[in-house]
Amino acid sequence: MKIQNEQPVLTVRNLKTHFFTEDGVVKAVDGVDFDLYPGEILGLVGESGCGKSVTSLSILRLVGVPGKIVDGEIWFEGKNLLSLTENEMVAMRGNRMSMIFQQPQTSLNPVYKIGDQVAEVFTIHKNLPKKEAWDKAVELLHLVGIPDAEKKAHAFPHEMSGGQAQRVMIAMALALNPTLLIADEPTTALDVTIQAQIMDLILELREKMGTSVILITHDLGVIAEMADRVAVMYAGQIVEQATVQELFARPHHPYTKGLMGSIPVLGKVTRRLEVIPGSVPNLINLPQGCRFSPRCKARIEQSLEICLHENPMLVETGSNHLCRCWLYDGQMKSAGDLMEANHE
Amino acid sequence: MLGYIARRLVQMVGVVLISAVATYALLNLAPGGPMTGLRQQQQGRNRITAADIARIRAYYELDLYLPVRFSRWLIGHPRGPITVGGTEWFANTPIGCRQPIEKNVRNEKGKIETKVVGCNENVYLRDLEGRKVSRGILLGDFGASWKLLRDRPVSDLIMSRLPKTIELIGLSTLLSLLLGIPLGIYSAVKQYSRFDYIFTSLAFLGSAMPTFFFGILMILVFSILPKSAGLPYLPPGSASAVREYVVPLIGTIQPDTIADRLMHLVLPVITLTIVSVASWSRFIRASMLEVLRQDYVRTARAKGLKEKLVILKHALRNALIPFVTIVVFSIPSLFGGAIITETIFSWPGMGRLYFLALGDSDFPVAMAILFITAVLTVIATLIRDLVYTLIDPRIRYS
Repeated sequence: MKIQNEQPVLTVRNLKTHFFTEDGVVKAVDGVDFDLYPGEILGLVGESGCGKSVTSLSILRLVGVPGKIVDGEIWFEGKNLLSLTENEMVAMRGNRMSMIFQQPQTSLNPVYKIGDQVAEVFTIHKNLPKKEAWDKAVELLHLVGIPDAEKKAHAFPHEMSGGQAQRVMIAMALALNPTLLIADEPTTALDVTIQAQIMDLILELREKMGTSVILITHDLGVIAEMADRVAVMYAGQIVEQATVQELFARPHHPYTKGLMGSIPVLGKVTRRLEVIPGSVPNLINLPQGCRFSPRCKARIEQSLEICLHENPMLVETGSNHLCRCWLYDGQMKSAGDLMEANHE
Repeated sequence: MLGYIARRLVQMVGVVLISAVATYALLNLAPGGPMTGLRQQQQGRNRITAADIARIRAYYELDLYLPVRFSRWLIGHPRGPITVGGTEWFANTPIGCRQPIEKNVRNEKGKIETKVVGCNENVYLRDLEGRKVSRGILLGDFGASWKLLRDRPVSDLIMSRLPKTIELIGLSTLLSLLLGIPLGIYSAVKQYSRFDYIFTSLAFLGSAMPTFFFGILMILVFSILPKSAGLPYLPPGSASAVREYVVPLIGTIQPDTIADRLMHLVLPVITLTIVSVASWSRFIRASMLEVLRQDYVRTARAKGLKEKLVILKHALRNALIPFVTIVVFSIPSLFGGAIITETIFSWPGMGRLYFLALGDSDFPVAMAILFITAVLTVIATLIRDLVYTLIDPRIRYS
């Protein structure tokens, strides 16, 4: 756990990214706020389609048509990224902030040697001559643990395993020692044993380079192991945010509780795993009030009316613990305590 | 790799032989042929005698059985009895019929049909001695023309036409590439923009419009209408003028100079180019859209590449891979020409030659063009597969 009195390296405020489709406006990210501190790993969890990936692509300003960032501020290294010109943004990407993706093998260009693809980062951002860039690339491939890097640099992506390809992606992302690394489900497509290796590599490089990492995943196990802090997303908004110990010890939001309940626990005998009833709301036609309310067991048990009419704010509900739920919001505090009691 | 090429070459010989059989069979078994019309004259005033017919049939080698004719066309054999150690073999083997017995019979539909029912006089292998024969198309000897340039080698005819076709098709292919690729890329990058909508509609129109219609429209708009209005106009056909003419702003143009030839190229080249630009750029657009969705394009952007480099270096290289097939297969048409366009613009090229040869039943000429086109197509396939290994590292043959 890092000390949080430092200045955050990344501050996201009220980020809204909407997709303007023929069926209507898809509010994929709808008012996301978070901070990322130096050297910290922030886990971003949530189920598919909750806006995790769009949030990360918005930070790099790589949301393609019909998507558009409609509101918000993204402060990074003293600049609001949303007010930069495209050219200034191009100079940022791959240099000060970079990203690795879910499918490492398809994320590498099939027709270029991996050495060239890594070296390209040096030629475009540092203007290094080809030979020098290539040597640096080989050095990096060695650093990320590619065996026989000298020779492997001449390989094409299809000649590599998924784990190796992800190492190449990491080498490319960390080539210029960026302040921010966004890892979008970096191990989802990999074998379990390889997953651990890749995660260890990210941790190791974070130590070495002091990079701050946003780790996007839907795997709470990965979060527990890797992250310092966690933000849980639901339907385009962050619903809960806390340090990793705090979140796993005291989950507040009914959605987070549902997520935790749906993980099998080793040694614990249950007849069936708990599930969250219902499905993710349609992002074009969001429910009025709290977005989780139609699926929320707590709301039904407590028969809360407000949940159906007004969307709660993300408020502090503990030390370093934020939650977006009426159960914990001011006047409803007592109900929250009641819930808490029920839970324990 | 060498083993692969060797295997492919053997296969190619097989394909070429099959296409030779198909070419020969299609032309020779189809109704019609050089004897059509002669029969009618048997009833006329200047009667053709049976002996005349036999002589003409022998000239066209139509008195030989089909396999024998085919073999003589393909390899230039048999040329007479086979001599082994001073003895002639098969000299008296019948290989054709000089005077078939024909009978008019009523077929099942009740119509009268002339059928060959027997033979009055056979042609034997020994009769072939002294008959003119080519060395066979496999050795590049296409024989003599029957009608268009009677008794002159087919290769002379082809060589006189080929440069004109290469000029026309080459120029329009080059223009189509230069226009089609950038248009396709731009339209894909600006998908759903106003440009893209206009472009895709025009491209759809262009590829749906038949050349015979579009060519005639061009002649009407750029030759006939301006000429009748007393305005400067473009030559509607042929490859060069007969006498000097004056073009406003440019001056007097002498026949068969470069300027004159360019003037004549304008309309046919535009006609051909519009059609292929339309389809090629649509292809590039689709291929580019496909590639722009790929993960590695997103990676290239996340790396900090300028959009121009993302498109031209990372996306285009991949988008062009399937396009190779299309470009490579324009090689055969560089030889075969464009039949319809050349005919409309009276362009003295291969396409028109083929058209005329078919119309005149000049089978040696038509078969030569078909055969060479088949050979070039087979070669183009090999070239394409080899080019693939150069541009796509995922493709390797062994």
